[in-house]
Amino acid sequence: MKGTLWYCYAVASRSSPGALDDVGGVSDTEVSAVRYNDLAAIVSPVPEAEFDESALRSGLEDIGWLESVARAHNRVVDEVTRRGTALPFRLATIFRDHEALTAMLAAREAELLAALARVSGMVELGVKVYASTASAPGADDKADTGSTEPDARPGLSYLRRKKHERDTRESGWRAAMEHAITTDEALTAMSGGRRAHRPQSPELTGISEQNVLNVAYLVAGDDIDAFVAAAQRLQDESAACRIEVTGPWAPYSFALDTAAGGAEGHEHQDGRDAVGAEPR
Amino acid sequence: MTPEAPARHPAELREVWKSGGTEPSLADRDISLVDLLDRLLAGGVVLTGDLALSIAGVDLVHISLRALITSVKENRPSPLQW
Repeated sequence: MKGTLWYCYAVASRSSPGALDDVGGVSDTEVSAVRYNDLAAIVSPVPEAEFDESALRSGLEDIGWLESVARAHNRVVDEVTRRGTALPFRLATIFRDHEALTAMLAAREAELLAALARVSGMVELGVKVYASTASAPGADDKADTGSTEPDARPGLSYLRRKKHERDTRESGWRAAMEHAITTDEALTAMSGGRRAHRPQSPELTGISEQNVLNVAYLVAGDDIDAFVAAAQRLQDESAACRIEVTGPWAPYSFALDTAAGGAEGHEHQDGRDAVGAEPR
Repeated sequence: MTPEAPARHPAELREVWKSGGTEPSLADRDISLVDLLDRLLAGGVVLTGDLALSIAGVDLVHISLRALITSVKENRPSPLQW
């Protein structure tokens, strides 16, 4: 039987967590706070057998395990965020003991406090823009291909049909991209930060429409309604796109840039790698 | 898969705002796993060095995508309610 490690969900302002007895952590663990000056790390004791490096490597490949840890992580972060300001940590951030945890809080105290101040009163909203399938090749193409009259040159007819399909697709795509850019600019102007995520693949989401934009915005809590209304207006302005808003989320997409001392609204298509190397 | 994620039609998952109203905290079941992993794996405070257990060399995004794709391909009852 191996020992215990400490799973860290978030860092909060010291005063905000309150009692966490009723919040369930990952792997049915209890959640508690480890305090250092004005900071509180929100943690759970987890079995080393499940969370040491080799277990994590295989666990992260297991969709069931990954989902249960991800949902528990988010549940804890949501609850802490509901009570005050918190800076979420990346999934599966593990400390060996309280000393290591406290040493981290001591070493990064100033930047964590600064990042907490920056996201105070803010939420993250996700916006996904999909190229609408309404303008994709559809029923009217069938009329063009008119199979009733035999074509003297079936090869040419085929090429024409293909070209028409491609042109339709491309013009729909272009219109979708243009409106996605308009949307992004309008919503960026209403936000306190922007970070692009990778567009989601249809294979993973089961949504056949092409996801052309997947962006997180940092929005003041008081501006949520106005932001969503703006997204809905933008949706109504164009048939080329479908716009989806998710959230509010804890500021996951902004914890990283701020804690690394990065620039506001800095864009990382694949930020994970860049951030570690970013100078403070 | 998890008890807090009852089976729901995918369309419902994408109606977060319309169904969630102005309540700031959404129930687990309203959140798609793909959206969640966008944030939990590519976002959050990232620690490197000796203090935290280091899986820094592991591309979390990559391996989780692999896990997701595998689960789709195996075509078993999806835990993700897509």
